[in-house]
Amino acid sequence: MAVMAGKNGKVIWDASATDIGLTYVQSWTCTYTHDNAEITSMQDSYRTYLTGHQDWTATVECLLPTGALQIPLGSAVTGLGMADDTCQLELYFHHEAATKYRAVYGNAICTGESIGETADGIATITYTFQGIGQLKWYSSATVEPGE
Amino acid sequence: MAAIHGKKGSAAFTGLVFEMISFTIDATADVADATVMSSVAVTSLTHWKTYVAGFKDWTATVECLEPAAGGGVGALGTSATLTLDAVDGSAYSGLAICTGFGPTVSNDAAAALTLTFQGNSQLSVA
Amino acid sequence: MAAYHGKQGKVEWVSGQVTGSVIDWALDAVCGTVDTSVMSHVAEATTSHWKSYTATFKDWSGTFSVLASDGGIDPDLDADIALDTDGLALELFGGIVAQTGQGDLTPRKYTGNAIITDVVMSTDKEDVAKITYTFQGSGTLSVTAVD
Repeated sequence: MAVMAGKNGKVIWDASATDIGLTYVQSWTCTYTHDNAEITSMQDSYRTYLTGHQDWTATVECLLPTGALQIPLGSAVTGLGMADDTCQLELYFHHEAATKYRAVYGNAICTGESIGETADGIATITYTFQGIGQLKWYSSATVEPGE
Repeated sequence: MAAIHGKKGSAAFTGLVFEMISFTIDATADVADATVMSSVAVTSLTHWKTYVAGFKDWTATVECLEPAAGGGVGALGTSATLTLDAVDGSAYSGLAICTGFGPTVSNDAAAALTLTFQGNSQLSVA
Repeated sequence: MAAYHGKQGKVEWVSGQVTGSVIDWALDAVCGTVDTSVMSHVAEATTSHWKSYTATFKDWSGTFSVLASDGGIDPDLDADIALDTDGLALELFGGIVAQTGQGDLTPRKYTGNAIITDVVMSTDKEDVAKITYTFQGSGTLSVTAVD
């Protein structure tokens, strides 16, 4: 079992026949949550809980590339736009073509694109995603998920 | 009046073991706004807010290294006299509830422990 | 009584399942209080008019962080976390009982039933991939000296 250096990471926004590898990715974060509901009652000493729904979101920070936005604002003909709900988000810990793929992935909606620019820095763009359904771990030596 | 170095400080609370790094005590007095209208002409002396004092309260936080034998999580939720003594200065004590017990362990540091207390009576100074 | 270094710590979630590549863990056990202060018809003095409280329920939560492994996410989202309904055994070891060169140290482990409520996976181009788990205790938190 090996640790995974961030420099080998990648993010792909995949609409089955067409996919977009986001460029200039600096970092990504994926947050999975499992709700819980309290059932603490009289005579208990410690609080107690039961689990509820699962959920996940993700954030990807990139440098802003020149040209058109990689994920168009609003719905796109390709189905790869912000607010389209038929895409798969692939967050790679390690992406090495035809050698090693390690990722978490799942269907998601791009819920936001935040662009920033300062006089003394590089322009940036931060994408936010809301997961739809299951977040899955993926491991393969040959193909990306869904290929 | 001289300053006090903290290196000789000590703490005590039934059921807890302190390998103390620092302690902080926050003693406060509530205030209630008693400001009312005043029909006098506005000058530099007038129309200032006024307050009356309410209850006094105190809390304390103690940062420790976690003792190898454990700091005493069983003391969480119990009430006892907490004494925080600057030794060369004053000793602060009062009945308190242990409201927080937080050990942290990381691979590059000594294990640490943060303890928090809610005062439950007068904070005395000796 | 001596302190101890955290380098020999360990985390197990689900009995016997050692979490790999742990960087750190932190536990926060608290006790709630209810304000029971009442009027007191005495003259104001240094001894008078201090707030009073009663202890209520105890609660505990915390985090542990790991370096992500190419072998998979551990604890696993599907096999471990998703199937949990009311918490599973969590053991947070501060060190090991058998010590050499450290005198008579016998570090403790904290144990209890816990629900993993958040899993934050992050990959930064300047770092290695990391995962931080957040847990919510459900029921009693105990401490023992068993390795």
